[in-house]
Amino acid sequence: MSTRALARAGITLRIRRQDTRAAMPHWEVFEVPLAPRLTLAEVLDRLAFLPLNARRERVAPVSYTWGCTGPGCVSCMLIAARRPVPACETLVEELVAGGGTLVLEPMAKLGVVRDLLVESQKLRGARAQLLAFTTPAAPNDTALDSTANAPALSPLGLLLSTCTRCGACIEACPETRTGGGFVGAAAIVASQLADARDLAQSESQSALHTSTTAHTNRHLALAYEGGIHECGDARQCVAVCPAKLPLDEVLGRASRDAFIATFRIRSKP
Amino acid sequence: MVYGGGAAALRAAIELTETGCRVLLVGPVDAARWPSLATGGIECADDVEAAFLDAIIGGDFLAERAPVRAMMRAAPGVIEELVRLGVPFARDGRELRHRRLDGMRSARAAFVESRTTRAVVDALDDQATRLGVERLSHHALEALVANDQERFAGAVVQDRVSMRFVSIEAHAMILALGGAELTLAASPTAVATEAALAIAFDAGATLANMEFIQTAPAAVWLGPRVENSPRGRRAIVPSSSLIGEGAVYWLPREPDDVRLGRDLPQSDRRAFLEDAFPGWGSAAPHDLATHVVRHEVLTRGLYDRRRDKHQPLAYLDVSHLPEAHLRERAGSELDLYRKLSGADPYRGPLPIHPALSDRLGGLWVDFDVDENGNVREDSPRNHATTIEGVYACGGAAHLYHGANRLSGNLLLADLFGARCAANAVRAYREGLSNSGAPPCFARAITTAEATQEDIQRRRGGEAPLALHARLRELIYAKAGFSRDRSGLAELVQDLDDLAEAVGKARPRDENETANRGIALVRDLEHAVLLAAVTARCALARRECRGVHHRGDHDARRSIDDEPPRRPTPRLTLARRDDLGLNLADSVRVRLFSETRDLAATIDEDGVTEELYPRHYAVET
Repeated sequence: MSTRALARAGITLRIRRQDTRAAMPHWEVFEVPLAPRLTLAEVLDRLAFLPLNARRERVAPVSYTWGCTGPGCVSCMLIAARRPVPACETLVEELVAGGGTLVLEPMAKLGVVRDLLVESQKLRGARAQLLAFTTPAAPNDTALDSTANAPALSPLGLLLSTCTRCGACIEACPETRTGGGFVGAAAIVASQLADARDLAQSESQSALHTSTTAHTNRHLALAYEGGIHECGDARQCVAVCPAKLPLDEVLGRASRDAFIATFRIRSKP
Repeated sequence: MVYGGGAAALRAAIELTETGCRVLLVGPVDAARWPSLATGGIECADDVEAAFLDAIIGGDFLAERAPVRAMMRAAPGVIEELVRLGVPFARDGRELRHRRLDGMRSARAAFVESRTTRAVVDALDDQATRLGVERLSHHALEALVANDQERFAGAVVQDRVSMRFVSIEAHAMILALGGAELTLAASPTAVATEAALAIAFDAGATLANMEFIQTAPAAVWLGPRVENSPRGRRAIVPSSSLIGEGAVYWLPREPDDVRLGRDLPQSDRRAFLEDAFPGWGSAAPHDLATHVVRHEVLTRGLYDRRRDKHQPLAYLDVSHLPEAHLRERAGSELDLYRKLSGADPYRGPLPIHPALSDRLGGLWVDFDVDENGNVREDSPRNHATTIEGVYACGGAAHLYHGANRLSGNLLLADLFGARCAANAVRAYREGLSNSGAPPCFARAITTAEATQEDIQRRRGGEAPLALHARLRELIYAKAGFSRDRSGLAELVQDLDDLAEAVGKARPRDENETANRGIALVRDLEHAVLLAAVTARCALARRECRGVHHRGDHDARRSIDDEPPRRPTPRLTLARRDDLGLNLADSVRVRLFSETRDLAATIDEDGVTEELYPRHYAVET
């Protein structure tokens, strides 16, 4: 489509708005002219500049965040056309070809603050619940030459380290809820990444590292409330993951790890 | 109390928690959703002297030498620590891979694809969670509160969701955020504001070297400006990963060549940066590279006539490298540019133009040097600002980068500085015998509430977003790549007008929750103040140095000229002075008294401009 035709076409935005944390959500319609290669974030910028709804009434500006300093900053995640996407990396043309209506919603499962603005604590809370962090070994005497001899992550660990923690998997999952429910694939990815990091460390250290206990505890955490057994196998996360991580494999491994860890505990005399 | 949210803030909070201090990490946004400035890698400094030399020369001889040397000595330890935290640096077998970033004479930077910063911040964030660091996200600094002994004793912060003010009592505070994204960045919601600097400045802290705004030789051009948008330039400053992989800047040999960039044969391309700095090419320090790129773009640049008549462009090209290699080394970044700019960086060049990135100067911070010129690591003076009990690191401190930053030193300085500041805070707290009477927050809160009510009650002022765009344009036009006396004098006047307009600006938002309008007005007040400081400091520094280019004091016109033999002020210091009638007059700028004739004398380190000339090879 030519530039002029695009500008004439414009798009209709249907945005799910919410004034406060507790308020009821409502829908508001906006009409925005389009330019070639415009990102969703830029469209929201224009809306902030001129907050007129489709009936040309001045309304409170739509809240959103955009703190972009480069790829992988996920502050601008929102749901566009039923799919969680980063607003600054998504072209409007991709979503609506030549005019049409685009539905924007907040990542509601993370907890709406206002309009498209959401909390970001939930993801960290989920990671903490699964003990998804490595405990670094204390620096030892060989510290100086050990960068050369440093632990390397396994191929799966390397892949998992590309998770941007955007929360798309949590949003798409039918089993996650605003309070409680399944912890979500992102936390399980972090948990397995921590496993991979621990493993890399224990390989590089000649002395036995404490990671085995950390490992077991982490795997047991997978079996507690909100753990892997609450995963309903809907595989929605696999479909939406922007980093295209092998989440089905990750979830499968998590179930195995949780099973083995619980079995070991039970079978102890 | 640590204020910030990026790598430096997290590192400082971790260090303090590990040594048994109680820490509260306060930030205007959540750490994990606010990465520090993207960078292409971290200096490993396997060769401390070479790294030191590169940093000093790269910073155009203005970086403080003792701390830079200490930083380079600590660099292998910093990398080692990151490896232990599980940062997946690129490797060749078991050895770390290195890439050569701007200003490095050899390949010495460890990297994680093109998301080094992100990987480091994630790893630090996990550690902060593991250690149970208390956090208070979405809270912005409003005022510093002192006790009866004129010492920092607490702060008032504003919950940017409920818009209420909260008081926090603390022994000490580390300011660990910087940048000038509000002033410079494209986005009106950019969160890494510099308000904290202005608040400390208001409270009596001294700012140093504020005239330096880091330039980037390349920002990927994404398209022409959009009507009715607060966003100015549509461009992304890429991390230095592309330079680390050997990107080439070029223009067609014939300025009128109408062929597309990717169709031009090698013989019709002119790698102008390689011509200007043989041996350096695109790895020239950013200040020099920007100068040349800007010159080329303005004189022989390309115009995309069909899409944008106003923005001259040059090409940044990595397409001579195999696609698989690029995917492995910078895939996430290149994929994004391909999507947003429409140009395919795997097959052809990316259109770019120079841009301003962020602020280099910051709060003046001290460091304690023993008789051998080494930094005393256990001293409470390290990273201390002029307000007792307030420390600064990361982008908020001026120490490590001098007049130009090498991108490999960005994260290194953040992490090393954060550790120093945390150690200093611990030493300071141990030395506190009598913490004095508890501070009185009531007055600060009342003032803050009154200001906020006043902003809410305003009628008829301009929209803050429009003022924000105007501030950015002013900085670009008059304090950007090249400054001169008349332009800066005008800027001081313009900023006065702008300050007045901001004083009347009405937030277009009546909602009580997460009112971005009020927040923006407050942040703008601070940003305009700092812009005035920048203008005054830039007026005071009458020379070309690093990223600060004065068109009217351009003594080094060509490569054959002798460098000027004139004393160079090591620091420009700015203090708030309440006697001034208007904004600009209330800023007192002083050139640091201990000026050194860098060009003429060989000082203690033996690193001088004469031995290591950095010429501007082009005429302007």
